[in-house]
Amino acid sequence: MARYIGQRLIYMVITLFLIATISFILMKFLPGTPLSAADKLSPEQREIILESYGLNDPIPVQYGKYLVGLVQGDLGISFQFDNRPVTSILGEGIPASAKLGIQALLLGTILGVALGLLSAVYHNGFTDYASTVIAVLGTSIPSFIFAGIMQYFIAVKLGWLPVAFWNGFEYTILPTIALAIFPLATCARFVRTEMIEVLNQDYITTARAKGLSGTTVVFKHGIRNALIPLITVLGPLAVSLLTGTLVIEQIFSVPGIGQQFVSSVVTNDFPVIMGTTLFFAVVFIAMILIIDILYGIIDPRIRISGGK
Amino acid sequence: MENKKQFDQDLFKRVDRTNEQSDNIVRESRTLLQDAFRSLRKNVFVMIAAVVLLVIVLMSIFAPIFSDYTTREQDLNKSLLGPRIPVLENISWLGLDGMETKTFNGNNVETAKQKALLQYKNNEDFISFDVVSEGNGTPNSAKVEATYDKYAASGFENEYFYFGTDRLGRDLWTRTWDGTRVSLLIAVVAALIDLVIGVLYGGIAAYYGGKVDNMMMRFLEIVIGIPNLVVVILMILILEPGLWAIIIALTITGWTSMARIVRGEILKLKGQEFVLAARTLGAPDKRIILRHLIPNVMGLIIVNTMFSIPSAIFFESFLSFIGLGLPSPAASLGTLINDGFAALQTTPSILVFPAVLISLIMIGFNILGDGVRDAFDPRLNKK
Repeated sequence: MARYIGQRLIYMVITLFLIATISFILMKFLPGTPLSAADKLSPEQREIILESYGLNDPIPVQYGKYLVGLVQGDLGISFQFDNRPVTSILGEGIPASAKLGIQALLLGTILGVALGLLSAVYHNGFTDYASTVIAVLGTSIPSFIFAGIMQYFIAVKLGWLPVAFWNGFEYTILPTIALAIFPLATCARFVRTEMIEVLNQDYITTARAKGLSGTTVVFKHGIRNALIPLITVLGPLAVSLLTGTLVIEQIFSVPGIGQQFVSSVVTNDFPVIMGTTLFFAVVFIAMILIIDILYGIIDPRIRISGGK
Repeated sequence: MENKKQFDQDLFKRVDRTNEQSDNIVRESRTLLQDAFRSLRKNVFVMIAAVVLLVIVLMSIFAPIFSDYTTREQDLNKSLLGPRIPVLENISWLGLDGMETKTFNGNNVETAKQKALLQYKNNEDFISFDVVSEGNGTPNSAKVEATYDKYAASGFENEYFYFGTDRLGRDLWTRTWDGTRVSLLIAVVAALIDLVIGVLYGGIAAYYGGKVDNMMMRFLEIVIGIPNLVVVILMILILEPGLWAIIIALTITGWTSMARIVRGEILKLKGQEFVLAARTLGAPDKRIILRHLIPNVMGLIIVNTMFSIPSAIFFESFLSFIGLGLPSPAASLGTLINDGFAALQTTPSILVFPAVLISLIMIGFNILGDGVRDAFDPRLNKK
C-alpha cells in the first residue's frame, strides 16, 4: 500500500510539473498581450511596465523564476487587479466555490443514493421508473439549462429566492440545486445497478432464509456492500462539479474562482489564468488520489490484489 | 386418462434425415452487427430516440436552406419579436402568436394601465388589457395583464419568425437550426477523430506489448492526469477561435478513454487461439489487427463513440458559455444559449428553443448509447 501511494505521489508531481510547463509555454504563445488594452502608452512607459512585471527577461529566465515561485507557493502577480498576488485573488474566490461545491456534492450524493436504493428495493415499481427518468434527464440535460429554468421560474417569476449574488444561505440554494442534479442522477443510476446486483447475491437469500426482516436485510446486508463501489464515481463527480462551477457561478454571479477565471480569460490576465489552471489541476489530481487510496482502505479485496 | 385420443398411424409420415442434410446451413448466419441491430429495433425507447435525432439532424440541414431569412441578416426594427408560427398562432396558450403578455401592478387599474402604455411606447391600438384584480387602493394592489401585439405595432403583420428574433433582429429559427448543425458537426468530427487516434494508439500499445506498451501507457497516464477542462481552455486560448479550435481542443484529451478501452480489450483478445491460428498461417501484423482484432472490439468502439458525442456537445456549449466558443456572428447551440441567458429576465423565449434542442439531443444520444451498449453486450444477447 505504502509503495502504491508513493508511486502515485511521484506521478502526481510529474503531472503537475508538466501542467505547469505546458501552461507556461502556451501562455507565451497566446495572441494578445496584457498591454493590448492600453495602446496609448509611449514606448518608454511600455518598457517600464514590461520591466516591472519581468516580461523583458529571456523566456528561460522567466520560466525559471516561475518554477521557483511555484515551489514557494507564489503564483505571481495579477495584471488586472491592482498588482495583487494571484494567491490572494484565489484565496478570495475559494470559500464561495468550495461552499457551493461541497453543498452540491453532499446534496447530490445523499439524495442520489436514497433514490437509487429506493428504486432497487422496489425494482420495476413506480419509484424505479420515476428514478430512471430522473437519472436519464439529470445526466443528459446540462446543468446550465436547469439553472436557467430555476432562475426564471423560482427566482424571477415566483420571487421565492434571490436571482443572483452571494449574500447568505438563501443565495446558495438555487446554484447548489443546479449543480447537484448531475451527481444526483449519476449516483441514483449507479447505486441502483449495484444494489440490484447485491440483492441477487446468495448471501442475501441466506439472510432472508434465516428469517431476518426485510429492513435488516436491506440495511445491514445490502446497502453496505452496494455503497463501496460508489467511492469510485465520487472522484469523477467531484471533477465534473469543478467544471460545473465555472458556468453556474457565471449564471448566478457567485464570486468564486470560476467567475474570476472567466474574467481573467477575457482580460488576458496570464498569471491568474495559470494560477487557476494549476489550482484546478492540483484539486483534480489530489481528489483522484484520495479516492483511490480510500477505495483500497475500505474494500479489502482491492487492498490485497492492489499491492501487486 | 380415458379421453386419450386415438390417432391413425397413416396420418404420420416418416421424415428421413441423413447426416448430410442436418449439416446444411438453412439460414444465413448473422454477424454481431446484425444481431445488435435486431435487438436495437425491438427497443421502443431507442427507436424513439433515433427518430427524434434523425428529425433534428434533417431539420438542422434543411431548415436554414428553406428559410426566408439568413443567419446574419440584422434589422433592429425587428429586435426581440416573440415566436410566431402560422396556424399554431391561433392556439393562444401555446404562446406562439407573437404577442407579448406582461402583468403590471398599480395603485388602481388606471395607473397600472399607464405603466403598460409607458412600457409599450403608447401604442394604445395594439394593446389589449385584461384586469386581473381591481385593487383596494393600497399601493400596487391592482393587477392588469397587458397583451401587446408587437408584430402589428412594428408593421410586420405578414412576417412569421417561428422562434422569434434576437436583440439584433436576426431570425432565431434559422440561427437555431444552423447552430444545431454546427454543434452536431463539431461533436461528430471530434468523436470520429477520438475514435481513430484512440483505436490506433490502444491497438498498437496492446498488440506490440512489452516495452512499447509500457512507454505508451506511461504517457497515457500522464495525459489522463491532466484535467481536460484545463487543456481544453488552454488550447482554445492559443488557437484562433473557431470551429477547428474547438474540435482540436476536444480531441486532445478525448482520445484517452477510447485508447484505454481498446487496449484492454485487445490485450485480452490477442492471447486467444484464433489469433495464434492467423499468425501460424502467416498473416502479417496489419492483417491480424485490421481483420481479426478490430472487428472483435467493434461493439465497444461504437458504444464509446455514442457516448462521446453528447459529451462533446456539452463541452462545446460549455465553452461558448464561458466566452471561449465560436466568435459571433456564427451560431452554435452554446452561443445561442449564452445569448438567451443575457435576455432571460425580459424575453425567456430566446433561451427556450436552443435549450430544448440541446436537451433533446443529449437525451437522445444517451438513450441511444445505452441501447447500443445493451445490444452489443454478449451477456444479454445469448438468450
